[in-house]
Amino acid sequence: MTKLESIRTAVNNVQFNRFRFWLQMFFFVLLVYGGFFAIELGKHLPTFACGYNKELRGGMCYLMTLQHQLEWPWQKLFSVAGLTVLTSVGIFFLWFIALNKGWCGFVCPVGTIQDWITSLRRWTGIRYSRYSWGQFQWLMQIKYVLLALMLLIPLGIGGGWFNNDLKSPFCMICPGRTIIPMFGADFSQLSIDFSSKVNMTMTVLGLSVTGLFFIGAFVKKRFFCFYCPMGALHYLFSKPALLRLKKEGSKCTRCGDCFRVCDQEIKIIADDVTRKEIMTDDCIMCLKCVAACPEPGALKATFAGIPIFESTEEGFIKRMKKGHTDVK
Amino acid sequence: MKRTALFVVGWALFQGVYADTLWLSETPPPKRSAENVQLAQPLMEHDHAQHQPMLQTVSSVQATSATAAAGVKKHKHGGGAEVDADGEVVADNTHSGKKQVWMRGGDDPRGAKHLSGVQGTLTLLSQEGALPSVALAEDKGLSTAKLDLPDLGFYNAYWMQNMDHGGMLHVQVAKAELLHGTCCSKGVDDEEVAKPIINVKAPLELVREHYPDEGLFTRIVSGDKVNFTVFSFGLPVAGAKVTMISHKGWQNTQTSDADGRVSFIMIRDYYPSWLEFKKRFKQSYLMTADLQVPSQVTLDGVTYKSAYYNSTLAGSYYPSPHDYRSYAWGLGIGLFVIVFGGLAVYLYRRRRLKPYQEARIDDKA
Ligand code: SF4
Ligand code: SF4
Repeated sequence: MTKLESIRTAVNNVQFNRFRFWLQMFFFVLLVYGGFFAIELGKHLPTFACGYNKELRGGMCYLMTLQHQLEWPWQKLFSVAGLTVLTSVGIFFLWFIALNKGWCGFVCPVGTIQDWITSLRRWTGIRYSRYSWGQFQWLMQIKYVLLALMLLIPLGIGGGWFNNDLKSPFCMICPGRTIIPMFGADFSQLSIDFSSKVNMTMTVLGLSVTGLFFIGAFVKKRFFCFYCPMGALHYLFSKPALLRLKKEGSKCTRCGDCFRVCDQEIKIIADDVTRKEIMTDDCIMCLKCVAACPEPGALKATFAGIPIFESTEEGFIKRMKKGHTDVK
Repeated sequence: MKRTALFVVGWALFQGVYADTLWLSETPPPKRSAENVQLAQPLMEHDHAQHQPMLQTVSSVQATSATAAAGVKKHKHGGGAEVDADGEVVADNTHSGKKQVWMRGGDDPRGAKHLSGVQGTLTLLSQEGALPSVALAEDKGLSTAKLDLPDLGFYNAYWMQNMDHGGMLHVQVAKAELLHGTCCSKGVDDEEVAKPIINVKAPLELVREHYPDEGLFTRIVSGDKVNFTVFSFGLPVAGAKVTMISHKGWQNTQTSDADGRVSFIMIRDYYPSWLEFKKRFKQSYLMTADLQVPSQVTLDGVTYKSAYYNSTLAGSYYPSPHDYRSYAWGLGIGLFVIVFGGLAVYLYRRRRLKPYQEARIDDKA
């Protein structure tokens, strides 16, 4: 076996859950406490590195920057200054193409918190919930509605149609705003702002969504990711991304293992044996499906066309022996 | 007879000088401010070549009053920065390095007149030292200066005027603390930013002590305790009378202690109805400090029998978040959703639970 082959085998046999847990932990510390280590990755990150975590964050979520920019008066937005918005989109895109939706599966602090809540549920022995196919079909639209509102409301503010208090509307309802600053002992986002009707409504909405987030993430794996407008925005840019999820339909036996471990309940990952590019808009590229697939080469993750992690029988058996518990 | 008349005129003008609090303000004049513009008090001719630039003399005010009036008229129709009914700037320009300050007269932070005809230069100091001075100019009939603050941080601008009243030195110092701030840039060294900038050439100066974690976007809010130190030529000075005047004119006077310090609680004097409440309602406060020096003083090589210094410093404050934020409601709503959401999930699951059914097969049947 050549050196390269032995590395490949080691990677394919990896105890994937443990590896992913520590990688998520690393990114969590980087994005939530990075400021403490003087790390600043900029304001265009394609993940929920919440800007409200003022002092400690290691970078900032692009959705905040985008909303701020779209709130500019139209005179400014549609002038040369508008180029700044395009530059920002460009920087966001450069960050994004490296990891594709892997930003959700491995990097996002809000996603990681949901995975921790799932672990807590597993520990209590309470079973998890799944959507019916009908529910799945219509609930999956919500993230696009949120994305549209997130773009249109700031534009409306810039055009003078909406009240300034509606600024950063998505941030106001994002659980990242209320939860992430708490990791830096900042609880200021847990209050209701009674200074105006709009502020009051938005902060009540924000804390209601936070309550829903906790209860939802407890009974449903990656509850919030299904409604996340960042995921929807990602999908619009995902075509040229370097990290990709691929399926070799001819090797698939449609055993359904991949679907059973999928936090996002993506049916076509098991059902579709014709599509090569199998990543959908709901996928968070957690690669748990690849780790759970017993058929060699049926599922694989590639980076710039080079396979970096693929399903193998040996890897599957090794992981099973260690107690692969993702289906719980 | 002639001497008596001269004394009366001199005394009246002298009182005028004392009565008029001159200060530097970042608040532009309201759009329709013709009635708000006032020519500077005509003052006595200064009699020392080294003196700081003075307000216009009677004759020069007369000579320029027509221009000022024309300027006022132009200003009235010419727009300007957006100012609300209370005379405060609506748009926040903390983020900008381009500032403009106006000379104002009177001790009402809300209604003090924007002056015209004031002459002199503004000394500009940063943490790193002195920057080029900027001369006051007439813009739309008002005395103002536009300042460029190149880097993020605090800057002090000073306008100073020396006058000799029959051997008694009177120095007026109007100071503005300007901030080229940012909410979002990290890596700001709070300690460095909090360091006071002190003008060792100022006979009297009020320095606001920055909060330890002040950074470059901290706002003073009602209820805050704000400390000031009074300095004279760079040294803390005891016994100076310091008055704080709030946005609506509440006043509190204290005397600086042995370290030159005074403390004030920023009182709340903003009580609109809920529908009119603005959490970013910017209010101005005005600080004045007075110091009498009964002994002989020498300034710029000239010796005086005694001296009287007064110094002003304006600042702004906002409503306190305690006035409009509630943690009890926030946590209550969050917990309510968690409890009732959890209950709803539990009941939903129970409803869908199929009762256990045992199927018995009778082998004998
Ligand atoms: S786990 Fe592998 S073999 Fe099974 S359905 Fe999924 S892709 Fe096909
Ligand atoms: S399809 Fe695979 S990579 Fe995508 S969310 Fe499901 S398990 Fe994760």
